[in-house]
Amino acid sequence: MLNHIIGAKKLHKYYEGEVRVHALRGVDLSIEKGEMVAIMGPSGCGKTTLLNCLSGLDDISKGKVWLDGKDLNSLSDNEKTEMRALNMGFVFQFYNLLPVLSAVENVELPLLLAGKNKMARKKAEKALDMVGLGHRYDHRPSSLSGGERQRVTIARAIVNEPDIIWADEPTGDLDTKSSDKIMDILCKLNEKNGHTMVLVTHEDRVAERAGRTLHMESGVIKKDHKNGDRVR
Amino acid sequence: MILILLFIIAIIIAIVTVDALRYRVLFRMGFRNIFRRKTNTVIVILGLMIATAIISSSFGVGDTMDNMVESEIYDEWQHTDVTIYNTTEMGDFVPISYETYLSLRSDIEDVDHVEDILGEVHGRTSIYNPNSRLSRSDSILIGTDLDEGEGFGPFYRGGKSFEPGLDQGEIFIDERLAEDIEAEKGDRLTLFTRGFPMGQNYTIREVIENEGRAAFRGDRKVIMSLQDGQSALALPEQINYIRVTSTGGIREGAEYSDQIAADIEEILKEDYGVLEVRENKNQVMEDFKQQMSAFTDTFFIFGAFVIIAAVILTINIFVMLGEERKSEMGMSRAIGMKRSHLRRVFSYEGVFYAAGSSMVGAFVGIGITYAIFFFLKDIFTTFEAEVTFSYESLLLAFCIGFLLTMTTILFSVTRISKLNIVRAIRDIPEPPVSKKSRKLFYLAIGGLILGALLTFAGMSSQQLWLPVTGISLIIIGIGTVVRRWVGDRAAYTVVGIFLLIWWLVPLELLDPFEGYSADIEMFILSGLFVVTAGIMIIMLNGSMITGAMEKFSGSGRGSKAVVLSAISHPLKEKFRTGMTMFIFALIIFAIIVMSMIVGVFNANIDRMIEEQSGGYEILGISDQDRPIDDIYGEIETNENLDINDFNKIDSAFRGMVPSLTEQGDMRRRSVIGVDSNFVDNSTFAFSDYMDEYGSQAEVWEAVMSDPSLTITNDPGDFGMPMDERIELGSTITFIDKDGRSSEKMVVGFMDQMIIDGFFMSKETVRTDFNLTSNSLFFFSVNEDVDPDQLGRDMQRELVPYGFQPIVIDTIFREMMSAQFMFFDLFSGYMGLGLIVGIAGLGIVSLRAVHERRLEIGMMRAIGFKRRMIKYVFIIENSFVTITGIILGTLLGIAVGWLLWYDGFKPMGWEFHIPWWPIISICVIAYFAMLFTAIPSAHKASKVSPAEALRFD
Repeated sequence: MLNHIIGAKKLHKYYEGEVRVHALRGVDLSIEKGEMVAIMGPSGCGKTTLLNCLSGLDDISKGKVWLDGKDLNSLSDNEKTEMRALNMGFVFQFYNLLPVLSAVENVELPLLLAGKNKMARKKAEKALDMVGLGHRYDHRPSSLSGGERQRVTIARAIVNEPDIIWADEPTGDLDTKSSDKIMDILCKLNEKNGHTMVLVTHEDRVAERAGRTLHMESGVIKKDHKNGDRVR
Repeated sequence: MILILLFIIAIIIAIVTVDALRYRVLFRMGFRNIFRRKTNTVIVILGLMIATAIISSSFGVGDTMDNMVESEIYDEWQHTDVTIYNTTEMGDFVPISYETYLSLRSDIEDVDHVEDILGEVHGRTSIYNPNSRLSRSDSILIGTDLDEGEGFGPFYRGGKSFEPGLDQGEIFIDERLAEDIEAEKGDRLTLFTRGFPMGQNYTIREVIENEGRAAFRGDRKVIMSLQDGQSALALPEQINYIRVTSTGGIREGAEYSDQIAADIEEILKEDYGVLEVRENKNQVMEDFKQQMSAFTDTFFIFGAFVIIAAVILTINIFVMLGEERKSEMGMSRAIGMKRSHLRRVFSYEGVFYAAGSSMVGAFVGIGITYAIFFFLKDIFTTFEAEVTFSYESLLLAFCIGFLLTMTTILFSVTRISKLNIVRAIRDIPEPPVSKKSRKLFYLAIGGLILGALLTFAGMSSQQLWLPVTGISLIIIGIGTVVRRWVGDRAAYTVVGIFLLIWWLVPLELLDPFEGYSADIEMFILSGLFVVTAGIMIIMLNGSMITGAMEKFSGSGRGSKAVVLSAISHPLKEKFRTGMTMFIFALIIFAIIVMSMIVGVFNANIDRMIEEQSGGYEILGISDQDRPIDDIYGEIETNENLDINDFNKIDSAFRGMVPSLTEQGDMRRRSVIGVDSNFVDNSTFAFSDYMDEYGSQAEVWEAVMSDPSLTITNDPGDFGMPMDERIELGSTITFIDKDGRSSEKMVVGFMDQMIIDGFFMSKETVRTDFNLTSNSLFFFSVNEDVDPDQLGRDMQRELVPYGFQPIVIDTIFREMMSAQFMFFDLFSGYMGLGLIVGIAGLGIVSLRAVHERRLEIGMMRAIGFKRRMIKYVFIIENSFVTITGIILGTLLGIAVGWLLWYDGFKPMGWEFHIPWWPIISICVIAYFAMLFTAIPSAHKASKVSPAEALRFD
């Protein structure tokens, strides 16, 4: 367990409503530090729910989730928030940038929230440089293309040098060229910086670039294989 | 007060500033959000400022009233600061010898700040101008020493002061009196006074202004020399009225008047027991302001509906801002923003909105105050209202508005910040609150405890609002507990129904609360609870409305699609729709209740006049100095009056008799002595009498034969002193003519408000109080006679007696007309709430266009024409508005019925629904809404499908 940065045991998630949805049905999982894991599966199979539950964005209904050895159930909302601010980065399909902030301000936001005010701007600029947006610091999201916005999101995700980067359909809204560019950046970050990465995707092309792929169906992991190693 | 509020605001701003410096990025976000959508910002500020504007306008009304009162008092009192006199049971001033006055004067001269003292004779006179054949019966006569009293200012004519001088037989009259009787300088007038009951002629030396020394005691005044005055009032070598002026001038002198009055009282107590300090300028002003504050308070209370609506609008605005930024907030939370950070962003933004809107609102309140007094000028015909707004009021309105808005914003942002990150990021709706929600369960238990506490508190204080509110909270609490098993829809629908039943049940069915006191707060609370109940029922049973609309949506091409698209959205956004509907329903409710009251009054005005008149058309009062012993004979022998015009004529003795209150204070009360003719002829109904009597006739019989019994007006009627509880069986302690206690037990209440007083037999008032002459008269006239004309004829012909007619029908209609004007004004004031509703709907509509761009694009793509999109938005807004209007109207009618049932039905009044005003209000409200809805509908229809589908 020591090398496992992410772990889940008998993880269940129900959505209450007019009809109760059993989204995750006892998922067992462990991810090692520095791994790049893709979660695939048909729509509604629970990919995003699994990512949300593992990252602490959503509460779990039953079971346990550990992040870096800490039981998520035992953490308060503020502690989970702090953990996200200090140790995690997020990339979403629809970028979700703050429209009132410029690119560099959006990127420095996690640092400021984590109280790392010193050098925040420099680090944000460096992160933007890394994703090839050195010329777009002061642009607001509305004046950036889809691919550029997603790169700002990646810069924001890496700016605090997190242990884990969570990406939910990071290329889902992009064309092939932009999509490849984004994956190049993510793979480079994984290889060079050793960030653990968990990404949800429905594209084989994207999943193939990850070191390991989890196939989900109806709330359970049906297949778990390393690329080149196939079914394990 | 202002300092405390300013201090609180300063602390808030200081905290926000320090906090903003600490969280600069959050401040930047909040600040930039303000300018993100400028139109929205303007609408938000306009919406938020309404509460402040209402508060500000009620202060404006208060300031203007205060200023009006001050101006009136200063104008009338001018240099006079303290008055010293006493009155008899007959209302005459008690005279003292001139020598005594001189002695008193020398004592008072030593009192600090006293500048001058003036001894005069004051009395009443009737005046007849033979040239114009016009008369006045109610004029004031003042005999004054023109060589003295410099400290009271000069006399004025034609805008300039002049040196006064009066020879014997010469008088000054004021401009108002001159105008009334069409008299001018040099005319000879006949004055009827106690000294000259058959009349004495005087020549007008000057027509003077009511300014300076002559201003005191209002208009319609005759001034003559002290000697002439003493002769006219049969007070040789005597005075009966002393005025004192202080060294401080007209305004500043008022500051000394309390102290001077207290010092003089000490002097009087020692050596001049017959006199007393009756009024001082400051006290009169304070008393008057106190009376006027009730009027100001009424504005504030009626404004409460609008303030509540504005608070709801504030919540709605922020909830919508929250929804608009939901996805950003979700992402912010995901990357490490805490809930407190989200609250901060909104709070920084909120401080700007609160400050901006409160500032704008405070000034808009001035405009509303102007509008109020523009309409009030028809009511206050005798006062000149100059709209006044003090800096303090402006500041206070700003402070209260700011704190109210800020509190509402903080409440709203706390709600907003509690979002689920995943749902927020993906912009999916929040699921319904779990049946097993512990938080709701605890809230329910809290509600039950609070409800029980309020109910018990009400039982000990006998305040109706406490148990009624307490039991309502208990109903809601039980519903919230029960929802765990039956779900929201069943639980809260039943809660809504129970609340409606509870608030709409007539008081007579609530035996345990009989005798509890209730005031206007019940009106406000009933509005809040019944409207909330109605909204709960509607919003939780929206599917029934959808079903019904589907059925009746017609068979036109696409009409079903348009209707369903239109109503499904508001029913999905329950909180937002419910809040907007609530605003409309609450305001319409309040206006309809007012219309219902006016409607019931209007429908029953003839009956009310008939009841109040007691079978008479004209009431007459003669001067008590000059009573009419044989009114019948007087009319019969008068060649200009025809005794055949009258059906019956009755007379009574009347006087103001000293009595002791429950607290042992002295109070003069009106006493009326009637005879058997009055008892037989009058038809005044009784609202209640003691059980031991079988009928009204028996009550009268007992009072006429037993000198220890009396009948009085119903204490619930207007005009009766409300500061003491007079009940059946209460004993009133009068002081008889010999200074002994004379106790009279109240055995019946007459249901009339036209003659105020305690009714006894003529014999009793003669024996006990020495009231011996007829000065109150009741006339019943033939059907073909015009009471107004006959009243005028009688006033002219009976001028020697100072006869004043009161035509009951006319005076009542005038009174009711003034009352209705107030109701109209209050309705108009509450109508401002419609602006809140319309603004609220405007914001919802604009937001809806923005929020549903993608949906609009999709609708256009699948075949909705531009026209159909427009209809969708208009129908959607119409659905919210019409539902709110219908709900408010139905509940308003129901509460109106309740008011009638509890208050007017026992008096035999008919129930009436004023359909025409109600329909007008509803139509105006609807079309006002369309004014805002059409532009946003138009905007929606202009959305290009291609652009919308690409919209992010």
